[in-house]
Amino acid sequence: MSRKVDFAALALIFVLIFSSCAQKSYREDISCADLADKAAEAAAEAGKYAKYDADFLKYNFADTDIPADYAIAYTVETNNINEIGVFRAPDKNSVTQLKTLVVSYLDTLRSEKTAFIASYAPEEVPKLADAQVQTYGNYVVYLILDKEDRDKAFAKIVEMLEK
Amino acid sequence: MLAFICAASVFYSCTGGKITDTASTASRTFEKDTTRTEENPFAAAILGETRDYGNEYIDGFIFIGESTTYHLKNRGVLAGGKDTKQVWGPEGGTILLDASIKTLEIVYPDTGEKMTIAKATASKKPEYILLTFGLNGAVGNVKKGKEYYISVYSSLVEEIKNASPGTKIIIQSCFPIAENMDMSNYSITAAELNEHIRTLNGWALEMAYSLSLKYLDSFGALTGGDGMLRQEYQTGDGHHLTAEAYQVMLRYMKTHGYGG
Repeated sequence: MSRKVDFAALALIFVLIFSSCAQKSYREDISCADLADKAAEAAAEAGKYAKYDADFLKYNFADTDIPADYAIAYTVETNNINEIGVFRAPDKNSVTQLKTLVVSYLDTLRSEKTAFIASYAPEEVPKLADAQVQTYGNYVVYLILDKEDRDKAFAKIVEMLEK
Repeated sequence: MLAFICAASVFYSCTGGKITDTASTASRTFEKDTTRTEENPFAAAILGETRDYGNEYIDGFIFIGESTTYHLKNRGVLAGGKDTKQVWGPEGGTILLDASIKTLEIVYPDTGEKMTIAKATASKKPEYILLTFGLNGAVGNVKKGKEYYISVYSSLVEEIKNASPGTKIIIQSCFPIAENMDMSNYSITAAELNEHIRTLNGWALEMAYSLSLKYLDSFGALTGGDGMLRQEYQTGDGHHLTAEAYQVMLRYMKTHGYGG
């Protein structure tokens, strides 16, 4: 019994050591616009994206004032729903709240836009259904892309942000 | 009591009064537009009944809107038939009126080039542009509220005005939908969606009034006794219109002409 307890304690210590080693650290000095632009270049045709203005945050993200910086890029191609959102929270304490807002935005999009997308570009519907949100330090990123482009875009963002 | 009557009149007039026809749909006459009531504060924007302006009047229009506008081309009811150059739309044939509207690229029929609505307007400088929006994204737009909807819609209007100040912009009421519309991707009923359209039409009318534009209230010309799109006017999916329905709409346009 005592041997089992010793082994468990040792295992726990190793887990704690390795998990702290595995925690990555991320930069905080890259603009969200740069990240969104590079993600768009990595994932799809460059030069075919535009960015939403400040009103977009007001009407789609509960008029939040949490982000210290943000950029939301969308494709101007009409049969394509690609969208890349990058936000930076001012501190790590705000990240969870910011991520909640982003998740809520995607849920709302799914419930409100799926019918329209299905009516003219049904092949695009899975992109919205499978949209993902990731956090990297103080950055919260969402991608509405197909799987291949999503993997490339996230990889690019990690490459730019990892210290 | 008087306040209640005024409020009810405003609500009724903003949601599209029904027009009862007693003649065939091909040559129907329209009774006095019930939306133009004295109590409606936005009544000045609504195009009233006029003499028939004829097809030459229609020929001066560019039509921009959702798939229900794009199908004016498919049904061949305009000059040029299915090759008409009067309908502007993107490759997919439909538009969602949202924050991306200013960057949306249509296929400019005169050259086949893709360009924004503003650039196309600056190039063509049409005499009239008829804008018809409301079905796509209706649920989300109603939820976001009047300020949002008018903000997005008026941003498109401003783009057009700046591109061609001489072009007369008319806002048309969004077409009604029928009871048999496929609602499997919605969380509401067809009747509720039709009411959302009425709400958005009311906001579009208010926007037209505030921007000194004219409003073509054709909604009632297409509805039946239940206030929804007449069954004989839809193609089977509950919202796309038949050639006959478009003829009704065009006749309404001609008999509610600009300047009348």
